[in-house]
Amino acid sequence: MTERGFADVAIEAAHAFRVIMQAMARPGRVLDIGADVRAPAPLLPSAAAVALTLCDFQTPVWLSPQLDDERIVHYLRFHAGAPLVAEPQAAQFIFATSADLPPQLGLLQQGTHDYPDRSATLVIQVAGFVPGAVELSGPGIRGRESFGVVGLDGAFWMAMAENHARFPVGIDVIFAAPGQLAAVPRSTAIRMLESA
Amino acid sequence: MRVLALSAPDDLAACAKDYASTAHDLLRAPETGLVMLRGRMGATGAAFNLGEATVTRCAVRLVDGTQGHAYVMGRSAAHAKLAAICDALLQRDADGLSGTVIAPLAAKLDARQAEASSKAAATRVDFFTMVRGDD
Amino acid sequence: MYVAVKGGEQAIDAAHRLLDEERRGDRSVPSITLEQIAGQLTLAVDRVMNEGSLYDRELAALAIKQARGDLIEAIFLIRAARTTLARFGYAEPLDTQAMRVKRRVSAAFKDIPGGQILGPTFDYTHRLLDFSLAGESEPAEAARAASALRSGMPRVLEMLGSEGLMEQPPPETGEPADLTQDPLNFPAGRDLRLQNLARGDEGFLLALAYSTQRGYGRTHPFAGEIRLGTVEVSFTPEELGFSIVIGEIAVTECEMINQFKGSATVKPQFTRGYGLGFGQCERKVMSMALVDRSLRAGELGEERVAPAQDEEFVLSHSDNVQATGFVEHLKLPHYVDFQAELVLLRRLRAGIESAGDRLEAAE
Repeated sequence: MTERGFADVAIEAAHAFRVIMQAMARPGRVLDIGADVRAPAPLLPSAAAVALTLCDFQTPVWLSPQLDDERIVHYLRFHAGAPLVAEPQAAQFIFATSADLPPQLGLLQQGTHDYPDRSATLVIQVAGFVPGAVELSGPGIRGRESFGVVGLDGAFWMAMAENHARFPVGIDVIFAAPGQLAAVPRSTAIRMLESA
Repeated sequence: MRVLALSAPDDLAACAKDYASTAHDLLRAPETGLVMLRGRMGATGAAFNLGEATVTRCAVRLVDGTQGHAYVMGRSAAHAKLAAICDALLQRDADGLSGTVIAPLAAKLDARQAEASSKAAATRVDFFTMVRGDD
Repeated sequence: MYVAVKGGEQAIDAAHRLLDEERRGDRSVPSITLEQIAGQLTLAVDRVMNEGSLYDRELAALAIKQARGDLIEAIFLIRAARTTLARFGYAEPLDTQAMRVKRRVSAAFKDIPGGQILGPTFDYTHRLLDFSLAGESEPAEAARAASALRSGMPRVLEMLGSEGLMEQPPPETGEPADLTQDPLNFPAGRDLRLQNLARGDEGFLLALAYSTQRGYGRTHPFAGEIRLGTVEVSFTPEELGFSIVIGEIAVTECEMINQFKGSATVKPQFTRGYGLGFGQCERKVMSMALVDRSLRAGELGEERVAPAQDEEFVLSHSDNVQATGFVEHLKLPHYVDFQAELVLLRRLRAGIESAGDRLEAAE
C-alpha cells in the first residue's frame, strides 16, 4: 500500500525547500518543517519531506538498517523515483537514525575540489535538540551558537569536526526531529563543549 | 499499457468512457515532466542522449486497493489519469477490459498504422531496365 | 565604475503591446491556430523540437506562433520551457531497427531488401512555385499500395557488416554523458558530441558538412541509408521496475558510409557517421552524420586540419540559443563600457595632439 507523500506536491515541496535552505544557511538553528507530508513509520515525516524535496532519479539513496523497510523503500521509489543502493558510499543521500549511523562519515562521498557539490548529504533522524554539546561557528552564524542533538555523542561531533577540516569537500548533515529540522553543513566549525 | 499509451487521448476517452467515473484515490495527481530519449551510435552501438520529450504520469488506487500507474507521452492529464484507471482495472479484471477497451483501441491503432504503411508502400520504387549498353 | 540606471518600464510595456499587435497582424484575418501550425508547418515544428531538444509538437507550435515564425526565438522559448519541468528519468535507447518506415532510401545500393521507399519527399519536385496552394484547393489523397510494408526493414550497413566490410558501431561502455547535466569538457566523447549535434543549429551543421565535401576534411561519403518513420518509446519508472511503452515518436535517421581505412593488422573497412533527429529532418541528420564522422578524425588517426574536425570549434558554436544570446546581447545597454572606450580614445588622441604641438614648437 503506497502512502501519499506531500498533500500538494508543488506547494509543499517549495515550502519544504525553503525550510531546508534556511536550515543550511543558518547552521544549528532549529526550524519547524511545517509541510503536510505523510510517511510510513519509522521514517519521520520531516525526513520524508527532505527526501521528497531533494531526491530524484539521479540521487542514489541509502537507508540505514532501521529504516530499510519495504514500505519505506517503495515510498521513496514511488514519490522520489530515487534508486536505492546497498552501500552508503554509493549514495548521494543517506537516511539513518541517531542509533544506526553509517560507521565512518569520511567514507561517504566527499565531492571533489573541482566539484565539491558531488558529495553526500546525511539525513539523521533524531528525537530532538538540546543545546550544550558543541559550539558552532562559521558562515551563517553570528558569533557562536550552542547546539546539541539527543542521542549523538562526542564521537559523532569529533567526526563532524574532521568533516569540517576537509572543507571545501565533505558532507552536509541535516537533523530531522519530529516536526523540526536543523542542519550542520561542512562549512561549520565545531568546538566540543566541556560538559559534553 | 502499450495500447493505452499509443492511443490518441480522444480515442481512449471514447472507448473507456464507462470507466472514467470508477471510484479512485489519486496516489499521484497527473503530473507533466520530461524523459530524456536516447539513440544508439550507428543505430546499434553505444547509447547517447538525443533530446527530451514531455511525459505525463498518474497513479491511482481503486476502492479495493488495486493500484494503477500510467506514463504517457505528451501533456494530457486526462489521458494519463484514464490510462492509470484502466491499468488498475486491467489488474483486477484483465478479461473484461481487454474486450471492451484494449481490443478496440488496438484495432484502431493497427488500422492507422496499416494505412500509413500502405501509403508509404505506394512510394516504393520499381526499377526496370530501359536500355542496356551491350549491343 | 558601475552605474545602476532605472527607467524604461513604460517603454518596455508599450513595446510588448506593440509586439503583441504585430504578431496578431491584420485582425480581419483569422488568427492562426496551433493545430494549423502543428499540422501544416510540420517541418518547422520538427526543427524547433530538434534544436529546442524537446519532443512536443503542440509546445513547438505554440513557440512558433509566439515567436512570429522566428525559429531560433521559438527554440529559445522551448529550451526555457523545458527547464520548468522535472525530469522523470532516461528512456531506453530507441530501436530504429523496429521503425515503422515512411521513407527509406539508400544511395549506395539500388536493390535493397525492402526496397527504396520514397515517402513524403521534396526530392524530384521541380521546385516550381505551386500557385494552387495560394487558393483553397485540396490535394488528391495519397496513393495506397495493396499491401503494407514489411516490418523490421533490414539495415543496409548491416549487410556490409556481415561481410566484414563495415566497421562495427562502438559497444556500450556505461552511462552516456549528458550535456544538460554536466558542463561541456574537452576532449568530448562521441556520446556527448552526438547529443550536441542533435540539438545543434541546422544551418551551422549544414555549412560544416558542406565544407567537408568541398575539401576541408574530406570523408568521401555515401548515404548508406536514410530512414524516416515512427518508433516506440520505452521507459522504466523506478517504482515499477520494468519497462513500459509510453508513446511513439517520429524520427529521421542517416547512416553515412565513409572513407575506408585499414592497417597492417586490420583489413580495410568502410568507416561511418551517424545522424538521428526528431520528426522529418533529413538535411539535419545528413549534416549531423557527416560532422559526426569528421569529428572522429582523432580516433581514426586522421590529421585534424579542417574546422569540421575541430571538436572544440564545432561543439562550442553549434548551439544557436547560446550563439544568439551572445551575439544579440550586444544590443543591450553597454553605456558604461563604451564611455570607458571613449575616454580612452580621447585621451590617446589628446596625447598625440600635444606631442605634435611640442614637435611643431621645437621645429
